[in-house]
Amino acid sequence: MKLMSAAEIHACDFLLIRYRHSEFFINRSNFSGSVVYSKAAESGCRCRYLSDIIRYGEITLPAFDVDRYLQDHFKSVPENTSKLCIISRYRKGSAADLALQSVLPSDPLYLSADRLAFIITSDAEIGKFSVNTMHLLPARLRLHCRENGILSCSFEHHKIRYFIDLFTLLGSAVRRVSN
Amino acid sequence: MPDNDEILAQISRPGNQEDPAAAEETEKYVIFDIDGRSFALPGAQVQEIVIDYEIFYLPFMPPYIRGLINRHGEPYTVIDLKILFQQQPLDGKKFIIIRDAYDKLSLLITDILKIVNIKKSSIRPVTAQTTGSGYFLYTAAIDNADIPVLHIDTVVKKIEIDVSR
Repeated sequence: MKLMSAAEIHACDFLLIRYRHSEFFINRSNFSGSVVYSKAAESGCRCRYLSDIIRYGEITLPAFDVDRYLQDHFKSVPENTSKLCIISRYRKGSAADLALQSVLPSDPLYLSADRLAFIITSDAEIGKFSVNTMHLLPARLRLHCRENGILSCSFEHHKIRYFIDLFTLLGSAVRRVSN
Repeated sequence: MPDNDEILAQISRPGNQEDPAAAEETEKYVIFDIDGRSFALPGAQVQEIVIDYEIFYLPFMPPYIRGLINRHGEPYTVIDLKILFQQQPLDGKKFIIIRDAYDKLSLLITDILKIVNIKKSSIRPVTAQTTGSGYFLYTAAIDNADIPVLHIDTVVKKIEIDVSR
């Protein structure tokens, strides 16, 4: 039997999204599939990051434009313009569900009961990364960062890598519209 | 005139050989420059001076928090006092790492000017005319100038209030 190294024990599957000066880790367990981004309709949503509807098989999903959000708020500069969508499930009555309900028009055609697409840059890869390289943010900023979807960070080759939570980013974006 | 035995007795006396009443207590301060203005920080609060670190942007922060620096892989908050005092960003590449058991903080500065021992008699209250006077403990008279001594706890308290809004 092959023993696992300490690095293997502390390694997890992440999606790594790349920009020119920054990178973003997303926990692989937070999404279940992916499709090439193709806008099917306008949502009519008052949150600019939730303006698109995409088709996923036989259903239509609201899509949160993570790529645009990261460019606007994290000053991220994309290396290319092609995009894809990752698909996540959420529970009825969860914070994500309530956030979506608060800004999306109440048209059942648009709303999948439990799934949401996140639009990301296609400059991304799934891989195993060590969590040992990640660091908690400075103590006095930690809670505020977490409330805005930034969980931790690390540094690699003159780039900062933020570990982000997609649903918290969504909640943060919706809160800004509501306020 | 004391004889040699008296002098030896004075030298061998436990503790400070000087007459405590004659020696005035001093404290070490680090004097630094922010775009032409001098400030002081008690030496005990300075852990290290580092240079040429890249500042990584951190969103959703008040403007005077410029981002993070990577110090041995650990993220340190970068505080820009020029924005706090004058609403203008500082173009600097030097940082004072603050000694803080709870948090990782750094101050963006233009340069370190000197490290001095200041007598307690050189300490004066801050006048209301001093820009950013709420962030200073007192002023210290150094080379015929009154240098404001930064009250880092007040800066930290402002961060705590601003990020909790």
